[in-house]
Amino acid sequence: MIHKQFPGLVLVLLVFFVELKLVLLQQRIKEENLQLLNNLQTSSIQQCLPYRKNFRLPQNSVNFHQYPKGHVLAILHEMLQQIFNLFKKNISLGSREENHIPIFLTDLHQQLEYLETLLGLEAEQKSHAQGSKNLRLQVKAYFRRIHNYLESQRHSSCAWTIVHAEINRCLVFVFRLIRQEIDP
Amino acid sequence: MKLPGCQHIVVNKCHFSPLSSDVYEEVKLRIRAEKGNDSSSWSEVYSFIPFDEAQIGPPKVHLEAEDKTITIHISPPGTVDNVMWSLDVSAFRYSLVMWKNSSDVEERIETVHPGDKIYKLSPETTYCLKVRAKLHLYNKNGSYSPVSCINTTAENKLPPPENLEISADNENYILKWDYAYVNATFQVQWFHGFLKIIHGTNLHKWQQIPNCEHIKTTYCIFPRKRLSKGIYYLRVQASNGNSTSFWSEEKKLNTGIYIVIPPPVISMKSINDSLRVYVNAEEGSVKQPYPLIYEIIFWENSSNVERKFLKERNDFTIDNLQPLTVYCVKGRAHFVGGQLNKSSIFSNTVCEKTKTGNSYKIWVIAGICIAGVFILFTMYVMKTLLRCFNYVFFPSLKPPSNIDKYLSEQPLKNLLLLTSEEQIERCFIIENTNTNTIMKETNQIDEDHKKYNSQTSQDSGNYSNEDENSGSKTSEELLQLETESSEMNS
Repeated sequence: MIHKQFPGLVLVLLVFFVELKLVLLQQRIKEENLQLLNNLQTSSIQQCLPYRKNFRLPQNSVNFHQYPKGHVLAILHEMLQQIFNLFKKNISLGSREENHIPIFLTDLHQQLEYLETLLGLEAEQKSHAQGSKNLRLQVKAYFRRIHNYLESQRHSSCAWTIVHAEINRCLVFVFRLIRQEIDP
Repeated sequence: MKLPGCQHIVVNKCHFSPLSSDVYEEVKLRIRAEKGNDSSSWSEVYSFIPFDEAQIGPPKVHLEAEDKTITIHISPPGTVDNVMWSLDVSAFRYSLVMWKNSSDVEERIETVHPGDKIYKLSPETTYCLKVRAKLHLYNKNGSYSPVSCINTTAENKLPPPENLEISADNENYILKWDYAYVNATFQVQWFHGFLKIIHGTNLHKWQQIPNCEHIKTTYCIFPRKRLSKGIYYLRVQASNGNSTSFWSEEKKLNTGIYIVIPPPVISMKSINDSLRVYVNAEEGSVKQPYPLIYEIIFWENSSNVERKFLKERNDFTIDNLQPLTVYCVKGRAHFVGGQLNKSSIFSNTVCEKTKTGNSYKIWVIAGICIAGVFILFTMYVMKTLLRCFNYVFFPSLKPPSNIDKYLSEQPLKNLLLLTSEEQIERCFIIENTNTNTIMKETNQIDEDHKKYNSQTSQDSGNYSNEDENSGSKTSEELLQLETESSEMNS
């Protein structure tokens, strides 16, 4: 089930992903984009407030300062992978006319391939594998909670609105994380 | 809590399903033996993460053969509702081992996506293969699927186009292929690359490229904007009259590989004996979303010795150059990122002459300042020496200054003249001096002066009838009188 406001959100995400590439390649993300995200909070979020849920984004339990670059890439990869998993459901739910989702998924796919190239280089340094695996599992557990929530809410319109807001929050976290990585 | 399925068992083995959908969190187990009402103490706690321990099962494989090609349909390991792998379905990569049934030698090992094809096989031959799933980021290799075999079909009359190649210019993508037969027409199709990693959608929906339908050339040019940023697959089919070939192999198009980096625009500004180099993106070009490294070649115009700089910044300074010399520069941009190493062509050469050296000017200014200070100092020293010299050899005959001050006053000066002057004149001089003094005070107030002057005139016999209103005249007369008296003295 596609929420009506999905296109708007996708565009926001696309803005983010353009920035993401910049960040990945060691350029700064601009604060304005975060501001833009805040401005684009849709009004229907107000109606969906009773459906809010704490998905426990693993930001507090993980102190990323201690981890090498490979771990940050791994977290980023896992998050994009899981966002892809989350939104690919929409394409199989009869939204052919919705042009934004293929664009969004295409962009995500390219990002993922690019990250996998970077990770492939990183993978040669096997010493970090265990640490990054645990971080990946934390990210997976977080997305598992989101999937469970959507199922428990039967993929209702409000449930998707809440999930969109949560994904935006998650992205903000990711960008902060990368910024810390770049400017420790 | 009690582990379901593992209570009151009599063997030392027990099967249980994941306790919750969260297979990523640590589970702790402990065991004890029970007999009747007695029970042993608990064993040591054994902890594990289900996802870590899980083994990837075999995928399901279904094959289709057409011509010299086999299509491999793969269903991911686990059931549809499988909690263990449901978040990793897109991350699975499949590796395939394939061999001709007639020989036991394993021929090909390939990494495939579900729905991929194996090309260039022999027609009417039996091939067997097995597939396993991998999660390479977790270093997990699944178990192989059962061996599946299939016969390739008889070769089609019309072969598919071969050797697809993609190139690009600034505006377009160019897809080229080889085809042995003449008089064939071609059509080109594309689809989204991400669909390859989405399972069970059956959305492998190929779409036509408008410029590339029913074309007779073995290439096709289509605008970049038709397939914007992303990963796509392209395929070509040949037709000749009523017969059509099978589709060609699918060619991957990653738009990232075809980024065109325009050459930078370089300008130089001479600052004394340095040159400031500015590197900018080409005017009107789309802002590059990628950071670029600039390679700058720099040389003196009259020599062939080149210096190379690699800069990430857009402007920098080259110092310590020869003054009044022409230097030239050109540059190109490199994009370094993963496997996509790209470079632009070189920019135009720009030349600039350095100005007179900075150090020369500094020396001139410093020299002038030092000379100025030295001259002032010398003058001061000379003056002091001269004063000392005068003091020693030509001491001043003047009385001390405090005495001199009194001497310089008019009454005393006049007193010095007393001896040679007549009494009457003495009176006159004193009176006149007073008048003069008063005159100075009253110059501004004419009325008072007149009164005072007339009053004094009454006392003075000689000057009672003198002019009553001209102070300046009085002064002149005084001077005149003084002159007269000094003449008399002499």
